[in-house]
Amino acid sequence: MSITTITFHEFLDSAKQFVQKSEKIGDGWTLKEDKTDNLKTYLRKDAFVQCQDENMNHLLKVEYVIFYNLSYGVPSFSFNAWNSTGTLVTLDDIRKMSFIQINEKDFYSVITQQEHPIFQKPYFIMHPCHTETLLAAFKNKTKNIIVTFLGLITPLIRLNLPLEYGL
Amino acid sequence: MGDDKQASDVQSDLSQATESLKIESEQKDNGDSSKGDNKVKIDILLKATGNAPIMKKKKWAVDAEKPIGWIMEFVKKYLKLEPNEKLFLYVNQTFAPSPDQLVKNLYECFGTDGKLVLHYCKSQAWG
Repeated sequence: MSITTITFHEFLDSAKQFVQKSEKIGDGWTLKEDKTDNLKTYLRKDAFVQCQDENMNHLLKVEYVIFYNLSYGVPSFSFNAWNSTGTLVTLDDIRKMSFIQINEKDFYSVITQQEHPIFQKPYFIMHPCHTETLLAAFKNKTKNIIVTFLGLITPLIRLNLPLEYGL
Repeated sequence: MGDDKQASDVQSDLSQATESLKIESEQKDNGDSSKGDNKVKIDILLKATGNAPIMKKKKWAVDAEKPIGWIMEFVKKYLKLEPNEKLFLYVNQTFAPSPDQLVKNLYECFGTDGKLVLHYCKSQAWG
């Protein structure tokens, strides 16, 4: 059996390439490198998301963070969202913003609020346990594993991934 | 004199012809809006990756205005996936477009040889 996990260096190379592309198209992703502890290097993007709903119609400030998960050997996705009063948006509101119809049980089995391994603050983090099998299908074919990885997330979270990343 | 008459005849013929063309195109327009079977179709090629089952029919013509999410639902039904199984569609084996993205746009960006190649993979769960 071939190894399907991603090494930290593969992650870092992809991340650098991803940021270059992002800069070219002005998408706003930045790479934050930690010189003392390399494994704490992460990708970050701040964005405003307009959401329209019957009970919600406001602008949210969202912070997306992609970091390397050492235990699972895959990239991991985490985020936080605040509304205009500065209150943290609840997980259920995020579920309602999702592109797909997903029930609470399924959604909560994918995303939970937990202590962020890099920031030691509460963040919504996607569980990394199935990421490996999904990425394995594309690992040696993809041009950029971060882009492939983000593709797994976009149906769930309102994350705008411009078409240019695929070119 | 005779020549003049001929020329004017030809002209009237031409103007009649353009008029009939106009009527034809108008009828076509009407047909488009009422029947809706003259829509632009785009050829897509669906390829399996990972542990996803293959499809007997790989090539499909899809309405250009349909979103990717619609194709996802279609493939799910075609492969008879369980409701809890997730399906992902990728272009260039790298990029997964968001479900509200239109087939038309993707074809413009990623289409090759007159068709759009989409790779699909499935999973039991996210995360």
